[in-house]
Amino acid sequence: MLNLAERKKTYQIFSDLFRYPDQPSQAASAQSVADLSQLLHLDFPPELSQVPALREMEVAYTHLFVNSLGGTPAPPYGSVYLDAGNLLMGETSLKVEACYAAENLNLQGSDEPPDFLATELEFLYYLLDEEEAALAAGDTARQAELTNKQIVFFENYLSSWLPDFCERIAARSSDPFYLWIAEALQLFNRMEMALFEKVRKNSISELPTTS
Amino acid sequence: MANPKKQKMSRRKFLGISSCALTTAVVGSQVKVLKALAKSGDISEPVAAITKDVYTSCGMCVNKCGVIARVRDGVIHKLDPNPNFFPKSRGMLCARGNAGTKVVYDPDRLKYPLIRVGERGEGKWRRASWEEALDMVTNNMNQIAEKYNRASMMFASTEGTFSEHFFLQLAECYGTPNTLRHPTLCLSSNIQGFSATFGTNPTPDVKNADYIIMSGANRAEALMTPDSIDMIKTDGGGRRKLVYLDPRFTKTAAKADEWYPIKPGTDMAFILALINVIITEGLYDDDFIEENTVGFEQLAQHIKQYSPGWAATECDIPAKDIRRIAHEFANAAPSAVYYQGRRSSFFQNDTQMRRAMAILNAIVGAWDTKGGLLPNKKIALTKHDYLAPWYDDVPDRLDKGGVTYLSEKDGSWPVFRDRALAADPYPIKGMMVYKQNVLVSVPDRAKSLELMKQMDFICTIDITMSDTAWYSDVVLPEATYLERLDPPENLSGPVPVVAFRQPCVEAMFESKTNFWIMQQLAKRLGPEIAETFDFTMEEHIHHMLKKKPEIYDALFGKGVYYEDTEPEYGRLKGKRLRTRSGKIELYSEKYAKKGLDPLPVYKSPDKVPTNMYRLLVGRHAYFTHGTTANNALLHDLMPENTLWLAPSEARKLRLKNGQMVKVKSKVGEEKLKLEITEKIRPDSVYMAHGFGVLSKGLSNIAGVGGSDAALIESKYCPISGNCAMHETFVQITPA
Ligand code: SF4
Repeated sequence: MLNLAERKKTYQIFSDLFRYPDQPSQAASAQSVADLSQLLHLDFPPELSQVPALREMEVAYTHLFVNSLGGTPAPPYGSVYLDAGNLLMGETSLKVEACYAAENLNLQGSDEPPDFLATELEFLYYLLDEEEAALAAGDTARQAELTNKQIVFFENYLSSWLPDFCERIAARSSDPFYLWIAEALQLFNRMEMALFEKVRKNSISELPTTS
Repeated sequence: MANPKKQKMSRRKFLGISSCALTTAVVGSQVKVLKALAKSGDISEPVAAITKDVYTSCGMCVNKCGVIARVRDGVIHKLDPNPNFFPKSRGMLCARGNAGTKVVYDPDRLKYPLIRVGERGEGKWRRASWEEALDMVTNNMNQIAEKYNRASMMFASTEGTFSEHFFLQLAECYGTPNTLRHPTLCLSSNIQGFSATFGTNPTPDVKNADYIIMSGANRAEALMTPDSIDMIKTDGGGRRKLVYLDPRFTKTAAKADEWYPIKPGTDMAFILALINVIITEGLYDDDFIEENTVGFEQLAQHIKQYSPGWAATECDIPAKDIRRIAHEFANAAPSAVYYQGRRSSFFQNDTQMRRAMAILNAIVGAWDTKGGLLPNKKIALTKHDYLAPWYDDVPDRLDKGGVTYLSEKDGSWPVFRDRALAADPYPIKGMMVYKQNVLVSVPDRAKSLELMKQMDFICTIDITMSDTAWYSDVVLPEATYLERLDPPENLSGPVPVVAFRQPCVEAMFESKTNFWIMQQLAKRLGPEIAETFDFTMEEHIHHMLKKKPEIYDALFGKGVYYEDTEPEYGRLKGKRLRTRSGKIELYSEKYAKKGLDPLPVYKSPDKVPTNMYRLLVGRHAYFTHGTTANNALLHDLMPENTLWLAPSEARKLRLKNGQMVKVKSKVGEEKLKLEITEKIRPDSVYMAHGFGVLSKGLSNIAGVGGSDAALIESKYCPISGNCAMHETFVQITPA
């Protein structure tokens, strides 16, 4: 089971990887893959010992998530999977946005809809970061509140569409990099689900802070 | 209702808190979380999330119906018809109009500028900043001007966007005469045939006509606009009647009082026989002809050869029916129209066929009168004048002289493409495309692909990744019609109105208006061109409305401006028409001088070769042109097209309903599902237009149907340059 810092880091890495790649993120991606592999105990295929060049990543990302003839294989937006009609800006998109607003967060740094995968992962990173701060300050009430927020957000707006999303990548992509990332995300999703399930069952009173 | 100046606010700045609809406005310092999210500093008072109703116009087809966008919590929740006066929409929206939100919230809409990185058509793209993409476009435009000529850039665009004129302005200011618009894929022969007769292309008063005849104008399906209902409304055997001619039993046929499965390409014979009966039996309007027309004597002579008996063998319509219809039509006149149709790209004789229709309408006096053909009116708006830079060495249009009457701005697609492929008389090396899906809408796709292959550079501006965008080098995302402030549009007609568009929500992702894109390109092309675009859209709107500022308030106050609510009948009585003689030209002196038949001369269509079928194409109610085929709401209604074949022929070919078949013409081969149906003549097959998306390997993606553009040969009407889309023969074999 991952501890708080590890989970936070995992969310950060996934958030970075599901954003459109740029020079810095490409440069960091070798480390990201290595870190993810270690955190999730997931081997990566030998061809990923060298991460793809930026251009290749851009092409693969654009094909999978931005635009492609006949439709992008895996649109990275929650409402496409959660709401009726295969549309952007569905009801759940607004609810996601409201979750951000409730934390006094805005979307000034993005032209994407609120339920863009990378942003949702960023939000969970934020909640974990806050939890870490609460822990450091010994504020257990706040910590519990933040745990609860993670569960609510994760279960309502993210977890349930990730399997479909990752399977679409697996079905329509031959790019080893994103195939592996999708596999890793599937795995992490299951780990988080299991973790939250335990919290719910009160088998642990709070999320693990150290492993 | 929303005024763009007052209500231009960002959804992001006003976050909706789910159901309570209270939001937090963000001010003060921002601390980033990682990339997208930022921690707000101070929090101001909560304000209401954007919930508003916005007047605008539909952009899903050419009809421009009035729309009210219901914006709830910053999202377009629903589109409703504008109940205020809109003669063409009558407080209704069609299926496509209702599905408009899908265009905005389509996960497959174009989001960012894209630059091709693999081979053309290979499908390898990367995102680019607007800066980089725009620079790339103008660098290429400049290179083409230097290496070849400014005329070596072609600009292809489509109608109905309210913004096309900015695109054409850029073409003109850049210095190319080669703009290719949609009329020669659609209705240019109609415009030509009716204008040669009446000096204008009039609107049939179908709402009031007692007797309507239609030739293949499948208004209940192909262009099902709210006002189409007038055309197909009958009164169950009373005075009002609709006679419908079509080789297919369409939805319009189902609504008609009489349907005749006419032999394709013989409509002119039917019309000439009607004229024959009306003239030989003296059923025409003598006084009207005397006062308003020229050439009746010649017509009466000419028409003698076209008896109902002769027409019956040509058209497969019994002579007695032709005679009876002629009587009924003349009896109902002047409240009777032979409706000219919208798309008139059927046969190479199309202009003359439409002329025959115009002549028939004229001899019974169905002109400028209730229930007849009505001349259109316009509400005068002030034009945007600009001074295009002058370039010395720019030649004429590439297709100049290719057909008798070539529109300077529209060109003729098939003629242009042939000359471009032969670099005759000069090469075409660059292509700017604005929302025209060339690979889907221009017949003979193989030739279009060839044309695209020879380009040094292709840029497409669109809202979705069309086949044409896919074959481009740079793709620029346009804001959708529900996200734009568009200039007022003068919708001419017997009862003209002015419509407009205002943004209902902020443009998503990095999509931009066509106007903004044109301004940015102009800026990069130099100060002289930039100057012609040096205004804001608000200034442009005020300029257009300066003679009638009250239009502004009407548009923002109720979504539409109009002056009359009823047509003014007899408006042109005693006035000079815009023909050479100033009268209705039954006999066209103008055509005679050009060496064309001054009166429509019938020629039988080519016989269908044995073991082959005539390919017929058409549109259906859910899609308009190629542009709506991506729309998932509509796509669910019609996921793929099928090939219609008569049961007797299917038996002969031993084909089963639902099996995949190969359809082969001289220019292409497609695979699609067979639909065995009594609804089509045995000598023809039919498929709906707008399907069959190309894949990387140039084959169609499975399960999405076949492309008509891949099969249709590029024949055209030599007078108007309109494509002749029903002159292709195909073979059918099991796939
Ligand atoms: S007819 Fe339908 S698609 Fe066309 S403008 Fe009207 S509502 Fe829109």
